[in-house]
Amino acid sequence: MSEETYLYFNGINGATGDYELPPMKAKDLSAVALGETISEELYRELKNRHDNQEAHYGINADTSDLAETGWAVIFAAKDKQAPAIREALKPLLNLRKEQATKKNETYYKEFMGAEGYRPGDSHLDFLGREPRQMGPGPANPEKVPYYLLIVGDPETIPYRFQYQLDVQYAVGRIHFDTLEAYAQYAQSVVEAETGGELRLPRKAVFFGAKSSHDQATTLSAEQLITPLSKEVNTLQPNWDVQTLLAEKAKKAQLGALLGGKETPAFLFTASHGMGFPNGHPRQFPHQGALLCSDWPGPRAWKEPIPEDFYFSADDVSKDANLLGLIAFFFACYGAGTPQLDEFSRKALKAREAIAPHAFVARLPQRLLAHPKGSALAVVGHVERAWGYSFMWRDAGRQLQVFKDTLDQLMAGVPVGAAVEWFNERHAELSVVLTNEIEEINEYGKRRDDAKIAGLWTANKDARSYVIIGDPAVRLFTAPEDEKPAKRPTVTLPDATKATLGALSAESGAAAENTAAPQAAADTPTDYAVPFGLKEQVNDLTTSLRQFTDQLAQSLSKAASDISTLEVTTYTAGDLETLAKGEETQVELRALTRIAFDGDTQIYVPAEKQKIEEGLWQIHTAMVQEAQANRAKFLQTMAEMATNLLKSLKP
Amino acid sequence: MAPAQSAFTLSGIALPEEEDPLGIWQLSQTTEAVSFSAAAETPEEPAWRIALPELPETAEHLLTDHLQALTLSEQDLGQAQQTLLALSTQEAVSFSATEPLAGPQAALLDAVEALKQPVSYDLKLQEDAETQKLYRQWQSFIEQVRRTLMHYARIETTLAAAPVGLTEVGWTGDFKTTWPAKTTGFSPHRQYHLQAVHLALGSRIALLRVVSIVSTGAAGLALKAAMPGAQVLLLPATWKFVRDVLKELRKSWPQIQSLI
Amino acid sequence: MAEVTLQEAVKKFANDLAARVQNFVNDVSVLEVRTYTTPHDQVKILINDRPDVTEIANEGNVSLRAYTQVSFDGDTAICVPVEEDGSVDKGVWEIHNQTVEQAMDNRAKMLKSIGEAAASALTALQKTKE
Repeated sequence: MSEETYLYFNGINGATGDYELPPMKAKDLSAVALGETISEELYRELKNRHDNQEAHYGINADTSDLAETGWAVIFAAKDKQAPAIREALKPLLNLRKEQATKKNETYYKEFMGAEGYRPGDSHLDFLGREPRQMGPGPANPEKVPYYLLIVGDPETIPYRFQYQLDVQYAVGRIHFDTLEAYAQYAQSVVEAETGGELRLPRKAVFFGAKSSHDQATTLSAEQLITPLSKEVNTLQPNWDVQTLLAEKAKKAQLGALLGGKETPAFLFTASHGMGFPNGHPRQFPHQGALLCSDWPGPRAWKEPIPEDFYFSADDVSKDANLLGLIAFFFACYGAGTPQLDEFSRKALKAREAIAPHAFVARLPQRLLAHPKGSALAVVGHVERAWGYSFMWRDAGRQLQVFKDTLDQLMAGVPVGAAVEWFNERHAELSVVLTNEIEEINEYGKRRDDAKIAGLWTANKDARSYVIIGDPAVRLFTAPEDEKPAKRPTVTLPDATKATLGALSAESGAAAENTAAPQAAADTPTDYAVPFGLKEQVNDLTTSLRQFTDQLAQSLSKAASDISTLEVTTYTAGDLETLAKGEETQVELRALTRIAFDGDTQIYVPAEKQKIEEGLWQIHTAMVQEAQANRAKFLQTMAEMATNLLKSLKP
Repeated sequence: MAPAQSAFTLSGIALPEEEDPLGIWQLSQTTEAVSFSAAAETPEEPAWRIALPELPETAEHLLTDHLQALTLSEQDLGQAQQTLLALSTQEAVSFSATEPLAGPQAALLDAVEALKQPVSYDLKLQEDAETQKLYRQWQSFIEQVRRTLMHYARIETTLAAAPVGLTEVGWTGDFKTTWPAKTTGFSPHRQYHLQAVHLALGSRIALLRVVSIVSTGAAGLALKAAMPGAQVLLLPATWKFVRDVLKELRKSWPQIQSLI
Repeated sequence: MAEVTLQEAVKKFANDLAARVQNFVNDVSVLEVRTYTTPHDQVKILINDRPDVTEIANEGNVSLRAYTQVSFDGDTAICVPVEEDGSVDKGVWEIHNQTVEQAMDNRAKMLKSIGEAAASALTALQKTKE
């Protein structure tokens, strides 16, 4: 790869049909990388992880046994919904407590209130604070258990915190819109682990979208899905491994795999993830949706992407049966979106906002809260996913991390421990990159832009794999000597729903809006919106806010520029050319200028050329039209602005 | 339906989910609509394009019809506004089941009722694909109107694909109109373009009014829901009401046959 | 925050409009209409751009050909355009008269609509403070 090599990003912009980011030059990314620093503490932690060759886990214990690893839940300190959410999660918390405290009472913890995550905390701030007093390094379950479930949205507890913690711990996150969704997830995990009825067939499906003339999906289909599924098929002879590529990887097929009759125990997808411009109406509901082979590719399709081409949360059937599913989505935004762009900034400039606020992708949320029984976890990418996950510069295909992860998962290791191979890769790349940058900045080593750009991107890519779900969940397949059973359904009893409904109303009335603080700041009032509807209110308010901002700007312009009204009439020899914005000849034929007080001046070319009466008449008519329009427009703008002001008033 | 060689198209701002609530314009993001040149790039600002057929009688008829449609739309908007005002102060406006506004009113009142039980309303939002689609359509619409505010207007009129007038309207309401040099005298083509300008600017103002009526209506109805956040949550349902009312009332325009 | 931004804009809008209405009231004594002609070659014919009408109107070689002043009480003063031989330039005169008529008609309408817009904005601002 040369300095002039362009790096191609995954991800399709749903609003335009184009790639989400234009290709960037290696040297531009390199410049960004060289300007970045990581904290010394984090570097030490990453290096420690990387240098420790004996075990790839962040704990020296049997990661399949919570009694040896411990388990904890983390809420935001200021989350006033936390007690209500805790109540909804109670069945899961009780189960984990029972499992984690079999040998040591202290191996189960709930970090909430004063012990919860505080705004601005780095992972070391959090770990080091009382009562934990934990430094960097492998987990000590007595102080901080190995498995950590973050409960909260990524605006309140940032993705960055999750990444940092994930270096040494097995971390997952859940965030839902309603208490019922939390309760549904909790109930589903408990049923899966203790109900005794979940005995799924050992079936794994590899789904590789591939569209014509699309480099990204051609690469992922040929260099990730195909060889990976082949390896798994060889290494896991007791598993039924199915591979669906290209024409067989369409939306309808994915629907059958995500809740339909062909839903496997484990699903691995590779595709573009949908991206939308900041604030686009489809961004919150559809960002990260999986673009299937229905998309004919960039040459055949140059329009916005219709929903028919991608699978989103909206497409999960209300009758879907997902209990026990663990999915891995290789797709941009498949797990979530940060607020600020990690990748496409120019050197030395601030990151741009790609979303009004950070959020969890709706598809995993929907899968994990399905009212008929939830999936257990989704592993996916926050921000964009890269080919660097499985291809390495001149070395070609690199699938070991994926293979090892799937190997562990299919052996029944909890998902949080199974994906530790990605953390190891992140640690390795961080150390190598930091060393390389140090060599260049401190010791004058010659800069290799292509290498730096590759390392930087691959490092960010490796870091950004996250678990949506409890990191302690695992696959539940039928033992070899038992027949698999049909998936049971898990629904919440009405009494539970009623209790949660009451809790929701109470907690909504008492709560501040701690979710998505930027959106909260734009929420027009301080009223207490019931907990379950906060996200909808935020979404609607965001789009209304953008509208009112534009109206405010327009109003400012309109009022300050109404001193005169000017109406001009031209003729052009070639109007068609003029419309295209090309060079052409125009001639001014009449001008009327009207002051605010009505004083009028008119200018007419004359002398040898007579005033053309017909042209003058139409000019006069245009003057009248202009005056009527301006008056009406100002009135309408004022009316609209005042009505919106009233609407936004509490 | 309008004759095949004619089109009233608004481009540059439209989003695929949306259609013109006034029922006058085709919304397009491409230049497939007849313009000065098939190869013209999509202009940045919204472009209102009126493509008229060659026959003068047909062209005049079309323009008259569309102008009448605008007038009727404005009246219908007034009716929607009045109904919303009445709904916010009464339990319901009395419509018989067969009257065109009964259905939209019932749907709107259902939405208000549902908000009184926030838990079940939220489930409805999560599970109901139609409701989610409505939310997106409202957000698309308000985004569309927002884009009209970012720019002013550009109106292009063609007759049998030949340009007859181009007017750019600036922020202060200044007009810049360009005519083909070869058109002279009291050409009816100039009148067509003048009417097109009136139609485009009137439609623009009507779309702004829709936003105004929806936001006022939602705020009024929110008092009935008596729930925090209701005036925002009711925006999609109120917009649907206005859109459906306009659609229903359009059915009673029997004399206008040539609309899209 | 959106509400503050919109509120500020509406306030400014209302104040600006109100100021213009006030200026108008202070200067309501006369309505003036001027008709100029400019030599044909004075009008710039530009490639790929529009002629600078400001230059034509304010600095170029323009001739004031007709002028009408209408005072508040209805008194009217007129300057009529004439040709070199003293005859009235009918073309210019007709255009000028149409413009006077339009100006008188529209001034009242403009004032009414601007005034209404300002009043409505100010009322809404007041209500949001309540």
